[in-house]
Amino acid sequence: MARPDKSPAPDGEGQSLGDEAFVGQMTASQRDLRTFIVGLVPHQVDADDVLQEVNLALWRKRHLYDPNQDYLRWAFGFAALEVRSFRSRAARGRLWFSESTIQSLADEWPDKISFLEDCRLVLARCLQKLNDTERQVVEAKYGDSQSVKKIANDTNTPLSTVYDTLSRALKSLRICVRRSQLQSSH
Amino acid sequence: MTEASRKYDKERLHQLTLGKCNGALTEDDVSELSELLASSADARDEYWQFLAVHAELDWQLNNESASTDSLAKQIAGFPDDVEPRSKILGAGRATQILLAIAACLAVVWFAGGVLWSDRGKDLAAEQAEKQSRVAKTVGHLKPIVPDSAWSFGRPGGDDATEFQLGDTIWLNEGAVELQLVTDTVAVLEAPTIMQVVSADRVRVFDGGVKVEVAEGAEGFSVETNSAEVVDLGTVFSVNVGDGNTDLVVFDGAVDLKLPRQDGETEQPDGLVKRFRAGEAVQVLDDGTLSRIVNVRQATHQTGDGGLSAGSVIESVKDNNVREDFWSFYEIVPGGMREDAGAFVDRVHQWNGTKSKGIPAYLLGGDYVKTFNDDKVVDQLRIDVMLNQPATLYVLLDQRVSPPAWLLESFSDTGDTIGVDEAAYHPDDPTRVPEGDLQIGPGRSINRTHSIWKLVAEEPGVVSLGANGLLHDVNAEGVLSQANMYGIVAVPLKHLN
Repeated sequence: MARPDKSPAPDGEGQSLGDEAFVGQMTASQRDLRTFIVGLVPHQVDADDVLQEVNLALWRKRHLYDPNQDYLRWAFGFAALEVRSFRSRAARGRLWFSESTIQSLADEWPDKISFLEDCRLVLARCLQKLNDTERQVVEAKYGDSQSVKKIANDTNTPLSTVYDTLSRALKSLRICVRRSQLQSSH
Repeated sequence: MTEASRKYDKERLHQLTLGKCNGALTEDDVSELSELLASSADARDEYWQFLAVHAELDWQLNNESASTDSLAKQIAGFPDDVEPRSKILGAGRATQILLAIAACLAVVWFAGGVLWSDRGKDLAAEQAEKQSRVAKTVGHLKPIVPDSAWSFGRPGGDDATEFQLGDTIWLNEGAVELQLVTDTVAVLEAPTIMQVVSADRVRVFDGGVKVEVAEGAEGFSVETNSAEVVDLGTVFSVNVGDGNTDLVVFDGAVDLKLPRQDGETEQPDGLVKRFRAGEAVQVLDDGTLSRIVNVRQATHQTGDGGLSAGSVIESVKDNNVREDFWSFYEIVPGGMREDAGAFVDRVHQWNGTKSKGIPAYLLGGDYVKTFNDDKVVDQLRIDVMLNQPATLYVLLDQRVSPPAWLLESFSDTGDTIGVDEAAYHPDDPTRVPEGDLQIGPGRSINRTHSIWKLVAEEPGVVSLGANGLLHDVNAEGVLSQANMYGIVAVPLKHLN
């Protein structure tokens, strides 16, 4: 039987979002969700697994999403739960942040979104302000997904030096974003 | 000093945060970073800023298109409502999803028709069918104390009574009973957070659940942060707090699964230990096991005795080193009533010796399920901690002589109480041969215990000693013809 988009949910709780529109919401939120999850899990390798489980949970519950509700906040709730769930199932040999740390980070995340948005706007410009070495290392690590060890080998540079270069680059980028925020507020 | 402004080692925070961004954290680093972040809101603020830069670099320089493709593949492979990972749909469906995502990236929203398939099957019907499967009800919930309040964290989820697959319940007040479609019953006490993963698996994040698994539903599992409990046909409870898991088995048996401790790599097989009725264990966050000496049942779960007494017995301890290291004293607040289970290690029941029933002053009192095997422990000392003035009763088997400690401190009321016994099988103490136990007072009474009392004017510890000696000494150890004494406490103010 044909069923148009935005028909009432089976339990009569009001209009739900059709699948196509929901996919759009999911797509648009991947970036924010991923950042949120990367912040809550200590090891990057787990972040994508958690994101996949979050996406599954969101998809399963899509009929419960109220379009009048802020999608990101709704999705962050799932993400926080999945992180905790993933943590409880993680190998004992891999330490995670404590429950209270995860909770505190998750609770305060909504206050950080403005910095994230500014970051998106100005990061490309800030990248151009890095020195050549820093920019090359950043592009190799993030753009080409090279390991720090490979970068060190390819450039014939000690591992610790590459780590230091990356750290300086991230610090510089962060300062650049914050300066942009301050300038735009005057 | 507010938490926000609490001093912390900022330089070290930066080192660890950048280490995390570079994938260079050791396990000790993770632990240290976790503590730093927990200690200060400023630290978390700094952390989030670095993470935002790191995540944006990853997204802008590498991840954006890859993530989009990955999402498309994920959605195309998503289940209906069961484990999804490798489900392969027709190319037509996957193509439609990719088209939808591409359109969204161009900030063009698809309406209705573009995604409709020109396959024979109606996509909307497929959606409706999928929705009804996804919204699968796996249980119904009802409050068991007044003013219970809960939420499922979804629209219409406040105090809803239908529990759906994947739902997480935040129980904020009171207690509720969840009846699953398998007839397994789970009782939750606030505050508790629990997710129903499937009809035979729940995940407890915080708080506790007591589970009575229906026959035929064996294999029901409760997951926590530190353990997994698999039912083998039981009544058991799991409580989570401060990262620890408390498991108590009231009836039947469970398997407790723990991950391996070597910490090298993820191990698919963990330690499995079986726990039976009358056993309890605390699993600490680091995986070590610790004995739970006594267990108090929740007040709402106990009997409907004539007194609304509140909890009187705070704790019970003894000096007995037990072979069965995990056994516990069970404190049943307000639970003294007809057919109340008398012992941890037997299925015998307390009942009135005659049809008029158990003496009224005992009904609704707190009582302790003692170990019947302790009947022959001659240096036994049991310390009962009372949290308010109370009358303490000892129920002594009339086949034994009153011990000296009882004669010195207690008085014989002249009243009696009966024990309805089932034949004891040491290999399976919970076994009840058919017809051995009857319901109600004055029926199938096998033993008579005399009731002795002591009035404790102040809260505190009352020490009890060993059981009395058999009139007819017959050294058969735990099979000797006597029962261990019972313990009941009633608040002093409720006496007539």
